[in-house]
Amino acid sequence: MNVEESGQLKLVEKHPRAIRWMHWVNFPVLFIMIWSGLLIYWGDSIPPYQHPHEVYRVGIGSWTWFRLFPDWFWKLLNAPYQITTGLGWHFLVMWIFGINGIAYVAYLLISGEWRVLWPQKSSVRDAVWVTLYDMHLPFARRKGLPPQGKYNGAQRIAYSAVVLMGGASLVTGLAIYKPTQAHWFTTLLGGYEMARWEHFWLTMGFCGFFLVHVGQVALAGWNNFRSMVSGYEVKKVASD
Amino acid sequence: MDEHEKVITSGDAEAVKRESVRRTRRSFVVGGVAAAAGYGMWRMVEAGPLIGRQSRVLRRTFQADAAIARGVFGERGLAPEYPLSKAKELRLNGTVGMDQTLKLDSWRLQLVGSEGDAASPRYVKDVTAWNYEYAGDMEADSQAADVKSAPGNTLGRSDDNASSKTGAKAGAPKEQRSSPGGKAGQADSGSTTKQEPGVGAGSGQPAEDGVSAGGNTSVAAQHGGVAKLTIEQRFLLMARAQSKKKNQGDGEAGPSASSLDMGTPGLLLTMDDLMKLPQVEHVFEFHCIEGWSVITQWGGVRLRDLIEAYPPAKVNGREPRYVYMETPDGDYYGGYDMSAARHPQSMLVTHMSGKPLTQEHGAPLRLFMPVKYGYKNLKRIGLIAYTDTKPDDYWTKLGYDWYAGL
Repeated sequence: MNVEESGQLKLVEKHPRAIRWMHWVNFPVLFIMIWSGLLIYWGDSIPPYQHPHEVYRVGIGSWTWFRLFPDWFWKLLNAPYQITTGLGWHFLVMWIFGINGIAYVAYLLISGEWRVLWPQKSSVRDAVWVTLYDMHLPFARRKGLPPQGKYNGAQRIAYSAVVLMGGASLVTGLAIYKPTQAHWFTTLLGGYEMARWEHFWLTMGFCGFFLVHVGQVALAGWNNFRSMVSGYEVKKVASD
Repeated sequence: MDEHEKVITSGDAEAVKRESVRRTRRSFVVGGVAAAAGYGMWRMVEAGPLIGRQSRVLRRTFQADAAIARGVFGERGLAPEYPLSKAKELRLNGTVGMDQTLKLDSWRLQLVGSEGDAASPRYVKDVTAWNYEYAGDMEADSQAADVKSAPGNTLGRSDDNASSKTGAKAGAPKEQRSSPGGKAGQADSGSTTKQEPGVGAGSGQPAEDGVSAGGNTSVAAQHGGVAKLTIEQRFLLMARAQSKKKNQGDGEAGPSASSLDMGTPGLLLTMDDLMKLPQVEHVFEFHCIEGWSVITQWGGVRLRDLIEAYPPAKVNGREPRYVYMETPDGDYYGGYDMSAARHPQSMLVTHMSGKPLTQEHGAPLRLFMPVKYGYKNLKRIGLIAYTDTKPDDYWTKLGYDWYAGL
């Protein structure tokens, strides 16, 4: 007889309030940072016929596969000639992004929540397993999911990586923001152009993370999503 | 699995679901209120009158960011230098203030506000009377100058830099807040030159409101600007009006609020005077606000050496806080903290890549400050003035940050 039919459920606390707030604050804040950043990027992306191999492209040396971004993308974003809008927002919201991110990391460390987030030895193996399972490969489906706590191996790796990426965005951002006063920092990151390249691809990384994250949340269903809003998850009571 | 599981309630499915719905609803209400508050903040930032084509809140944020940067770094840090082998030719980007080819032998550096300048052989009673001569329009070199679109591309407009860089936030410049130093302040400043049409003296509005809380924003007011027009000046005005020489402030940002009044005394320095200062050469990286950067070799004299040689006259018993610069036609202008001007790497450039400056790069004299973005690095400097009033600044009026510190 299954537990559902026994009528026994429990409401379990899943995500602490602080984490939920910081997560949801970060969502629009990161969105504004990416949008305003793209408005700034536009300023150095348009004359490809003169500077075809610089910074915002996929390629190596004097070979460029393609440049970012195509005209239709900039038009869609209404990016042309909005550099000052981008600068204005970027240099305001960077403070919120930075403070929120530092507070989040501090909370993880102080509360001990980092233990459920930081990858373990088994995380890489679990992550591959979970990925194969999510790809609906028959042998992985037969085997079932590996045992997990709050986050599986793939989640541990992805969520820890995105936190590190946030830190890297602050660091590369500072290197671009103050390349004279903080030049040792800029030099450490490989110079000004390199810091811009890193900053840009971190941004692309956030976009990639966002797409996968939203997809996975959609697949995981309402109970999971709700837990990130209310903090609680409905679980079956184990009959032992 | 999860040993620290915290169970809120447990038992009958219906009861648990009811409790879940109650808590979920509460969370969504709180979340909705928070989202509305966030949206409200967004609207608040966007709302209100623009200050120099930048939202009021974002303009204030620029200023706060600048205050933090001044506090943390104080612009004391030195830019790294690079080996000459890494140096490249600087990109051409922008010709504001350089519509016409300047006859270099007609160039003089107007220096206003230096101590004891009346005793100098270079002293003149009216530096604005100096006539820069031009040899026709500058060649429109579309291959050399960066424009925002390839030929035939409809996305960008391949017009001059002023509009290509700032673009049209909303077409025409929006009305700016009037400030204490605005037109009302000028009307009772006692200078009759203000009413004369066609002379750019102080007819603009300052870039950032509140920067000129002391009334008249013009540099001349602090240096005993002559109140009445002489016959010669009236003739000069007529001559200017009749000549093909353009009036001041034809750039997108309009005339400068810090332009000199007619009759402002000062020095007219020659290139030979500047060449008496120690010559320096450095390889520094130039950073454009658009994003790109170029490592370039710069040759010339240090701005601080010029300031030492021609020290500023004290204002209210202390050194004035700012330096103001302008192109000969007054179209492009910039304001700088004295600390940035005195930075040991701030240069008055006469050579780039070992060659004399070209017209496009601002011959015969341009500014390069490694502590500032490129848009502060004025080309073809005609005027350097010491002032205790925060000077007007071309790009600040078009939405950029006055401080622009790197």
